Amino acid sequence: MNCNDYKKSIFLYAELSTLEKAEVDMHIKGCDNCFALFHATQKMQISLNRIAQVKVAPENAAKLTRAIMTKINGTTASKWHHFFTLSFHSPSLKISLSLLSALIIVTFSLESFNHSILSKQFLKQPSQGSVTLDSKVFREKASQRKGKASFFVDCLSPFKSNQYSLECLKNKFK
Amino acid sequence: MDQEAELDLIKKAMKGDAVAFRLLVEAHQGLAYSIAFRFTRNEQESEDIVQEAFLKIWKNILRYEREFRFKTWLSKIVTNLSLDYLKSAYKKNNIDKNANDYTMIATSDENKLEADELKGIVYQLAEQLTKKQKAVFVLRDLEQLESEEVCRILQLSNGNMKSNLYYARLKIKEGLQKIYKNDELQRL
Repeated sequence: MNCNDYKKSIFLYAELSTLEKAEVDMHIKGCDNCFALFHATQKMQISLNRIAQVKVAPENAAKLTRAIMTKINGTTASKWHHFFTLSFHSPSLKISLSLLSALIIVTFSLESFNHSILSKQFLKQPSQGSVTLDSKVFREKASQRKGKASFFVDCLSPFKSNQYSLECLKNKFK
Repeated sequence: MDQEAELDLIKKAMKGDAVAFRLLVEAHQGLAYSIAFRFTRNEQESEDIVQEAFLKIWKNILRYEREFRFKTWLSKIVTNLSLDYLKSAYKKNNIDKNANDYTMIATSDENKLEADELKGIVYQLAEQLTKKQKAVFVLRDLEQLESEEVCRILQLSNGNMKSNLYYARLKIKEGLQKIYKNDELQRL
């Protein structure tokens, strides 16, 4: 190590381990420049210690305490708020809530799974009296209804008399 | 206040006991004010920072971690608030310039340099440090906290803390040397 390396150690002398301090001590014994620097930094540290000894305190400590407590009391107007905050920070409640949410998720998953199986079975085997919505069946039924309606259209003309219509229908059924 | 009594008060404060919290405030507001003042050098701002710090602690008391001392937690909050203040104050160029110009003090009457004047000079020189360097310097050299505590408060590694402290001390020493014109700090 050269003098430049020791420079940092001299400035950080108070932070060094006993072994590191001994190494620096050894070096400064044989180096005038580093000894001068060590001397100067130690004097500076003494001056800084003197400044640190001058305690800085608020002018009116009691007034400051009152000001702090007024602000704090303002925030704790609601005891319920504190109760709920406290409750939500309790580990047992956190565990219970996470278990409950897990249970809800599992229930919904099972429910949707069952529903999908049931709906598949329902489509395969429609039960008696149920209505199946199938576009093909719907089209067939619609065309049949259309055929039946056209059967009577010939007889139900607004330009013919009722007598004619009755006669016509009788003939159709014959 | 011993650590057990302190922990007892914290537990009570966690349950909403404002009286217990008041005792914590009374025990620690001096330290909080001291840190804030060494950063800001402004009484009113320091008091505001202390109030805000305790309010933050009260609101987050349930997040208190037992492995840290209350003092460390408080110092961390006060340091962060002070650094925030400095950041906004630098932007507004609103730093308190009540300390006299140090070159004037030094040249006018070097022999009668008092501790207060020296304090003014060191604070003025500390203004030239970076935020991190200033934080490390204030906590380690002016508040005389342990190195480990400084690392915890500023969330720095030991190496990083030492590096910042080295540059801070170097700049302060160079500043003092300029004032005393290579007098090797004989007057200090």
